[in-house]
Formats: sequence, structure tokens, C-alpha cells
Amino acid sequence: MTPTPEGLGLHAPLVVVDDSDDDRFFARRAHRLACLETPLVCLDSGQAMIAYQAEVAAGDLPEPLAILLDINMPGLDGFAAYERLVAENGDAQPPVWFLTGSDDPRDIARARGLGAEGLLTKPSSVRALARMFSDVVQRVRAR
Amino acid sequence: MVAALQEELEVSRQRVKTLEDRLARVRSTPNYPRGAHARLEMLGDADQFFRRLGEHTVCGVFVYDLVTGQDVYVNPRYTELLGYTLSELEAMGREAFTQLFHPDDKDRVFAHRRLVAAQSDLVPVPIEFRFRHKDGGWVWCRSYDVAFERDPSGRMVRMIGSLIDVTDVMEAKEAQAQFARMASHDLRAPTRRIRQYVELLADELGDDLPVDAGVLLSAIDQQADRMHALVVGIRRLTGIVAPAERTEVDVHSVVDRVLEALPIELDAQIVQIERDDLPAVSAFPELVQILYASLMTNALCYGDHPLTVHFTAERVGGSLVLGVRNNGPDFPGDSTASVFVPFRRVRGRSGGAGLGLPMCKRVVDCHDGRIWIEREPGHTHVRFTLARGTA
Repeated sequence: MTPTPEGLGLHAPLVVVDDSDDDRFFARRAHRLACLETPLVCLDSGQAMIAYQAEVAAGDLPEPLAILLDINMPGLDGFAAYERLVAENGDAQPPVWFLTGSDDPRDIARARGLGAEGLLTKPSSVRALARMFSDVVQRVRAR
Repeated sequence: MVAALQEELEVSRQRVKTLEDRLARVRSTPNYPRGAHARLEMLGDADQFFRRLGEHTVCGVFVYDLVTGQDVYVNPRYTELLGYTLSELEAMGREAFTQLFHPDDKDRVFAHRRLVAAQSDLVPVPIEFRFRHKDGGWVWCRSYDVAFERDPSGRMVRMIGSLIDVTDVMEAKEAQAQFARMASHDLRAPTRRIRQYVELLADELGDDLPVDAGVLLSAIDQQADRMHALVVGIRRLTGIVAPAERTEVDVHSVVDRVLEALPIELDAQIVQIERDDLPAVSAFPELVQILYASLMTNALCYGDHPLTVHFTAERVGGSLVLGVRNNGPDFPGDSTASVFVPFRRVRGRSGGAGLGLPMCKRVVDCHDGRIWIEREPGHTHVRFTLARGTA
């Protein structure tokens, strides 16, 4: 799967990794609603995210501003993908938030244990998702 | 002198006669062994009798010594169920024996022993736990335990238990719970997506849609909303499990926290709160919080306005009966039992996923208590206990 950059320029993009076609569709609509300068890249698997980061390392693609990584994915799930990301990039990796459709306390505990930024629950409204994107971008930019 | 002796002899004869009569009566009972030989046999049989009793009992029986931390008796059925003979158990020592209990169940087993020690000796206390079979697999046991011996100060030193293998039951239960968890988890995503598509449709085409279509869209959204509430409800219901040990829970503060968490509802309606002297109880704090929150929500949903909610506490016999009483319509005649069944809402009333009272029942079940509804004209009183008892 090749990344689908939307208006990728010099700006560091917000990267959403989710195997669900529907949820990537909502992500694009939410991104449009949020009117962000930060472009959006949607990837459909953990493997695609690892491949994207390899191209970032090679200087072929811009470094992500932040990665929103779905937990529940076939193949390489969010946790496993995160561990590989850390193993391959060390401290140089971009900030990662896990995304989940559930409220499973075990997921929350595991997300904390792994040292990611946090765990975000997928909201049941596109407008709320747009606000979530804006928040993430603002928080990273404020650093 | 002679007369006195004769009189004494007569008394003695009478005594002998009485004894002989008594013996004759005993001998004439159907089970009395005939002859001295038979009586000796019976004494010898006592030992065999108890051995046979141990062998023929359907349950695995053990006597656990709290001082040595080991079993001092197990019957053959115990060995059949769990693989170990008494000598094998004795040889392994206290630490290794403790390791045979599943790590997740150990705390519960220890707490259970304290509970058994505190019980009257004739009340068996049930527990379910996993024990490692000699062949390495886990066996789910349900054991009914009572104090067997106490020291002069009354402290339990030995406990006797009768256990059966309930692995199939527990595995079926776990599979069912896992199915419910998975189903509720997997249903969340499509429900959320339906709502997002409806939102986009309304946002992007809202102005171009005929009025009827807008009404239909909002109906779809409402149904998706309700489905979401059900899915979340199933998840919460299946998530209620008893922790290892009870702690002291101050019901008064629990009610405070529940009321603090409901400011919007309390502002919107004029609610009068009344409380009895609410005690501290030995219970599972998180679960008691869920219980009171559900009952409060229930009162807000189903009560009449202006609403009066009365948090009750009463000693009935030896048991503490707590409750929440509110003014409101009588429950329909047949529904007092069925309101505790998930998803059955009281006829003609809307709001809620129909899981409030089932959650309460679940919490009460975790405490081995009882929950029921007392109907009074113009009032509904949900009452419950948080311990095994007679109330």
C-alpha cells in the first residue's frame, strides 16, 4: 500500500493508521472539517506505517508531526507496530497516540506501559474527530 | 435387721430387673448385633465404616490445617479429582502446596479462609477456585468449607471442605462472558460508524434534503444511539465481577459521591433527598458505587416529579437491609422479578437501556446478597442486602 498524501508539501503530516476503510474515510472528512494546515496521511496497516517510516529515514518522505495508531488491526496490531517503530527509530520517532474503538481497561494499561503519548477513543461524531485532530496538532506544536 | 436386709435385697432385685428389661428392649431393636462376637465385629467395623464413608463420598473431601498450612486428610475421591494423595501433599510442604492455587485466585482463597473462620461452624461457605492438577492442568473446584476444629480461644485451626469439579461449568461461563465482551466490542464500531455517516449525510446534504428525509435521518440516529447504549450496557454488565476481598465501605459517602456525579439531573428537577443513618458495611466499594448510581438513575428515570429519593437502612433480624425508595407509579403487577432480567424495561416507560436493575442484581449477587422491590401505593422501594443472610 502506498501512502496517500493529501497536499503533502514541506509540512509534517498527521499520520492516521487504521485498517478500516470507513474510519479512514471519516478521518479525511474530519481533517477537511478541522481546516488544518497540517496535511493528513492515511495508512491502512502497521506494516504500511513501518514502510512509511523507512522512507522518512531515507529522506524521501516528510517526518510525521504525530501518528494516530489504531490498536485493533489484523497482522501487525497497533501495539506490535509501535514496538517495531520504537525498535527501529529509537528516540527519534514522532509522538504516537493509540486509537481505539473500545474502552477496554487492558488496552489503556498497555498503552500507558508502552510509553506512548496516550490512548484516544474514536468519537462517534466526525465533528468530534475533527476537534481531536486539532487538539493533537496543537499539543505537538506547543512543545 | 433382717427385715432391713431383706428390703435392701428387694430394692437390688428391682434394679437388676429394670436393667434386664432395658437390655431386653435394646436387644429387641432390629439393628442390635446378636452375640458378643457380632458386637466385637461392629466395633472393628467402625474404622472400616468411616473408611468406606470417605471412599464412597461423591465429593473430594479434605481437612486443611491452618497451623501447618497443609492438608491432613484427603479422601480417595480428592486424589481422583486433583491427582494428589495425602502423602504427596504432605511431602511437598506449605509453600509448594500454596503454589497449587491459581495466582489469580490465591488472594480470594486466603480471604475465604478468614470468612470460614468467622462463620458459625455449621454454615458451609462456598468458593470457586482453580487448583493445579498433578498432571499440570487447572481444575476449577467448587468447595463448601466449614471450620472443623478450633483452639480453646475459638480460633479455627482446621477447616474441612467438600469439593466438586466444576471446570466445565466455569469454562462455559467464561466462554459466555467472553462472547458477550467480544460481541459488545465488535458491535461498537458499526454503531459508531452508522452515527458518523448519518452525521455527514445531514451536514453535507441537510439543506437539500426533503423535510421527511431529515426526520428519518434523526430516527436512524436515535436508534443508533440506543444501540450504542445497549452495547455499552452489555459491556458494563459483563464487566461486573467481585474483587478478591471486601473492605469497609461507608454507604453515606458512597451516596454523597453518587449525588455529586448527578448535578445536571438534580438541577433540572427538584429532587428532595432523605437518608436514614447510613452505616459502613463490609463490601466491594466500586460495586457499591455502581449499585447506588444505578438506583439513583432509576429513581430519576421512573420516579414522579417533584421527586423524593429516600436512602434507607434498616436492621431486619440479624441482617442489614439497605434500599432506595422513591415516589412514583407502582410497578406493573408481574414485573418485579422480570425487572432484574437484562433489557426488559417496564412497559410504557422509555429511557435507559433496561440494564440498571440487572446491574444492581449483578452487584448484589457478587456480594451473595438479595435484591427485591417492595411496592407501596405511590412509592417504589428497591431493597437489598450485601451479605448472605436471612432477610
